[in-house]
Amino acid sequence: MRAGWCDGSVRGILNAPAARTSVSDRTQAHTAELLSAIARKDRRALGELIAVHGRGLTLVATRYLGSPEDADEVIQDVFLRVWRHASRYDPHKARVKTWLYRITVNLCVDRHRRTSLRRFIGLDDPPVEIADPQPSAADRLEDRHTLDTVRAAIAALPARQRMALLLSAVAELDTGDVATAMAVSPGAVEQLLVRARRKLRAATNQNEDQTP
Amino acid sequence: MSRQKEDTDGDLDARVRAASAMPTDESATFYKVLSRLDADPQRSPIQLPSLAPSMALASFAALMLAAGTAGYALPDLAAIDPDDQILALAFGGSDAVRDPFGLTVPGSAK
Repeated sequence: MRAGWCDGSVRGILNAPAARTSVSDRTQAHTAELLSAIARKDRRALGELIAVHGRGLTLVATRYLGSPEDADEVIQDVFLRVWRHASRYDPHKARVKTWLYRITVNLCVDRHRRTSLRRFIGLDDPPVEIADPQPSAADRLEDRHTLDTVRAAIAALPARQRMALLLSAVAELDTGDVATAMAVSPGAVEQLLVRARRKLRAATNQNEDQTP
Repeated sequence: MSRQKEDTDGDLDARVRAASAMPTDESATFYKVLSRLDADPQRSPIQLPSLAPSMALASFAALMLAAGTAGYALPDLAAIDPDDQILALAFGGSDAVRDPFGLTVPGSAK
């Protein structure tokens, strides 16, 4: 069923067969059509775009910011901007996915600067470690302790390295798209990734050495 | 050699993906975005393109009007006099009013 917003069935929109399709099944042309529809103020298209890209954007923002609450607000801001500026999207400059991540990166960086300043002057508490409340299949396969170590290592990375790694590993963007999203050169992205992975390996190796 | 040391970039990225996994609720996000859209209609892009140019034009017109009015209202003789005096000095004017530095030789004035 593809219920519309006027029917009051948001979940219907999100659970529509097209919305459940994975990102990899969607073509750039289709997501560009979604943006065109959003530019015409089609709320169903916005719901579909959130259903397709919302999870990936949320995971990257949450792991980058270290706060699910901050990430939630950032992701809302991302889609508000998409709603307001969909007509500005230029398919010749970047894929829709890359454009969405670029908006997310910009907002995350702004939020990170603000929260860092607030923490520095003592207005905010340091972030708490975000752990998956319900062990997933991945947790059962992997050692839970190792995943916690990886999470801590990601959180300890410098901000730019952390963002590059998350865009590459979690968002599964290629180097060129990561460079576009972060507004840096592909060479800079490769350097950030090399350093981030080196630190991550060191952290996980140290963890393994310490584990009895 | 430990297993991690043999990890490729792909293996490491898979760990990062697994470590980043958490439940998300896209429908909740959609609800929140829609409620913010409905709560803040003033910032709708439907209104911005129609309002922004007219406001810019009105501001520009007001600025030009203010500048024009000020151009006529502000100047006075005190502001003009120094120029006149300098010109009189440069062209050898003999009028005492135009010789504030007392350079005119007495009796040379015609």
